[in-house]
Amino acid sequence: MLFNSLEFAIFLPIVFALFWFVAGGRTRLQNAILLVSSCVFYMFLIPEYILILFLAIVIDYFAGIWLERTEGKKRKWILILSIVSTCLILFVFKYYNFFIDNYNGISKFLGWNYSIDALKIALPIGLSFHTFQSLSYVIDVYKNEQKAEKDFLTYSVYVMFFPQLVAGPIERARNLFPQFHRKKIFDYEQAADGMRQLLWGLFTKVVIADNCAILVDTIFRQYEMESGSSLWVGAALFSIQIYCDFSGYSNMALGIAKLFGFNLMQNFNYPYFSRDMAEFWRKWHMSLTTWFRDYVYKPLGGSRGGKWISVRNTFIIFVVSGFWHGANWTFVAWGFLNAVYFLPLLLMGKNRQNTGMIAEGRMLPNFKELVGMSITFLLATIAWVFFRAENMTVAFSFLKKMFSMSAFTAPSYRDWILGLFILAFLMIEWFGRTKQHALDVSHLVAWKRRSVYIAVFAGLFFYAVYNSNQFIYFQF
Amino acid sequence: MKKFLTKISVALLLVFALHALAGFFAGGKTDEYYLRFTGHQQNSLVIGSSRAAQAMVPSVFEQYKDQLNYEGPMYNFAFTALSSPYGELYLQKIKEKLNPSVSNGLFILAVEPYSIAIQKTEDKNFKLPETKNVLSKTHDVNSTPNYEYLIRNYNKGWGHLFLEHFGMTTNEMVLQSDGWLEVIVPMDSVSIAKRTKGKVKNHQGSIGEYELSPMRVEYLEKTISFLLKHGKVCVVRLPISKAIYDIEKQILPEFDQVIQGVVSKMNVPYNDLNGASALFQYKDGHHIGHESAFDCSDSVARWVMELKMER
Repeated sequence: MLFNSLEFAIFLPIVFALFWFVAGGRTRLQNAILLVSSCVFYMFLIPEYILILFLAIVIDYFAGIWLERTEGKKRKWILILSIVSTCLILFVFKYYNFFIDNYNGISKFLGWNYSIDALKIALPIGLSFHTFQSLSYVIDVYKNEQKAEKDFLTYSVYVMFFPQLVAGPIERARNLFPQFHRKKIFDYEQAADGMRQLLWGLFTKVVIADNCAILVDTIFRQYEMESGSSLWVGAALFSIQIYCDFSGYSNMALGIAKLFGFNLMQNFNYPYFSRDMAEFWRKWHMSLTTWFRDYVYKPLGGSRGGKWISVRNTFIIFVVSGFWHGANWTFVAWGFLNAVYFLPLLLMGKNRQNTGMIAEGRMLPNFKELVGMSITFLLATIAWVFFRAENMTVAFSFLKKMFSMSAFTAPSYRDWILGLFILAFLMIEWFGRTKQHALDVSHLVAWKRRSVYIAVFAGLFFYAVYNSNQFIYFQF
Repeated sequence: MKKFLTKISVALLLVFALHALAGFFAGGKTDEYYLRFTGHQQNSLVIGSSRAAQAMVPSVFEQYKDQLNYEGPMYNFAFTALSSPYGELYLQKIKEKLNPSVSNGLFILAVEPYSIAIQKTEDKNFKLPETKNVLSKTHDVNSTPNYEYLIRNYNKGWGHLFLEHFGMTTNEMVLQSDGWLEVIVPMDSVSIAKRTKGKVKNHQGSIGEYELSPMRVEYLEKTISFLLKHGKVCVVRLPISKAIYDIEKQILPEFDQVIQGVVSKMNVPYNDLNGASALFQYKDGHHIGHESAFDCSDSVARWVMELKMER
């Protein structure tokens, strides 16, 4: 089920009513309602894949309890067993065909007469997200940073909680478990803010991202026939699209969770207002970057072993992060390129120079900040070409044309209305950059607040696109 | 909670009312299909794909109404090759759109390779393209406003319906009240060549991808059989550019033979207008130009008149 669908518009009020009115005050019943609702939500896509999710839940639920009851070396083996089992599911569905394709390619190149058939299976939606969420729980239990959850219902709803089930944020047990155990009392301010966040997420998805997608899809589909300047337009619009698509989803997820009294972790912190790529990566898909930091970078030694160990680990997490996104060399290249961007900052010890909010206490950025933001956006845009391209050949051809002389001609694509909407969107984000989401206007007086709501609604009413575009990150 | 629910309810009510109002402004500029799902049942129909949707102008038939002697008005109920190839679904919708009491209607059935073919596939889960398209997603074809259609098929914010209605949008396609899809695109030679190049490339990609579908042929016969109970049926193959015509010969070489077999069996007249294809101008080689649509409709109407005289 998509958040921007009619089905969900019917589903959400029903779950809301069941949660607060039928089960009000009874925590276990509320959790049970959330679990059943999450199953319904998930089964709208490919129903039988719920069994895969159930298998992963059973493995890690028992692994957690087993780990807690065990001492000594055996614990490590339980952890390995759990990680291998969980990752095996991910491997079969997401990476098996990638390795087979590469093996077959090499085999053909070397003249071996032996190829292996690829699997004809669809990737369960959001598999990478809930796999990582389950892994973090088991690893935390292993490290004695988290108590094993004995209640199967609570553990199941932790993995399956529908607002963040298919595209994150990748939650941590220490944040969510206490919320599932706590008695819920309806909080008007939290729910109202949830609605605002939901509205903003919907706006960025269906007004900005999906309108950008129309042009982006055309430009990337016929890039060979376009000028370099048009390709720059396509690449820049894709930068906007992917941010609005994914942050839109995250905002909707956080907003919906708030309606049920939950606070999920912030996933985006206005990344395009970053002064360098290091800051960008602290603000982009934060639940994944902190996951890699905690469960890959730090165990590998982090920055403790000197500069070169730090460089090695940085490359590892960026490349693995790219591979997490998809079983395609384009994602690996995207991760690698971002590591290359990161490298000079790391070597010069400047990767943590911009940790505060940009233009703090000021209305506008200064010249240096503006240049920093522009360069960051430019670098990110170039990298996104790899992310969007079908394969490496397309990515390189696309980039080659972007840097050809035809980049100095007038682009064929000029959508002024979309341009105005993007400008308005950036302004709202800029002025709301200190808040968890840009539409947090709770501090404004009523008439101003309502004017903002009406303006956002007008954007949705007149300019939204509802063409069943899935969220880009669903495929991961 | 009460405060929250009150505010949300008021907001939702306003949103709902605004959308309900917007539905009344939906019309010919909404998209290329909407109007055909509104209004009432019709007496005479044009059946086929996008070629017929754009080439058959019902008002031209209306000019010859006396000579043709049929129960009008004529209505264009053709969609696209993906939405309305001959099959169970299209026949069902034709039955719903046709006035059941009509006995002297005129029905122009356009045929082409895609309307009786099916894509070759080994996929066991393969679904016919029409089952995923507009006709399968809308149950009622005679409702004004058709909210079901708008909810399931209209892919813009409904405020756009106001903008379209008041002429604040630029529309290449306008669906006329008689079902004719009027497409106005630049018809200079450069634009035509560019569009034709793309279409030819698409069609070339279809060579070897399609095969004759006995199911579709059977439903073509069933459609003819059903319509014969309500009037006269004339089968036509509408003109296309020579380049596309030659490609279609490769896509479905047995097409002519199959259609000849069907029309003989059903005892209905058939006319392949491609003998005179050079007389018409095409937008993209595949669809007839806006101006030529009138000439093409005139040719078909005159042919039907000649048939009447022969009798």
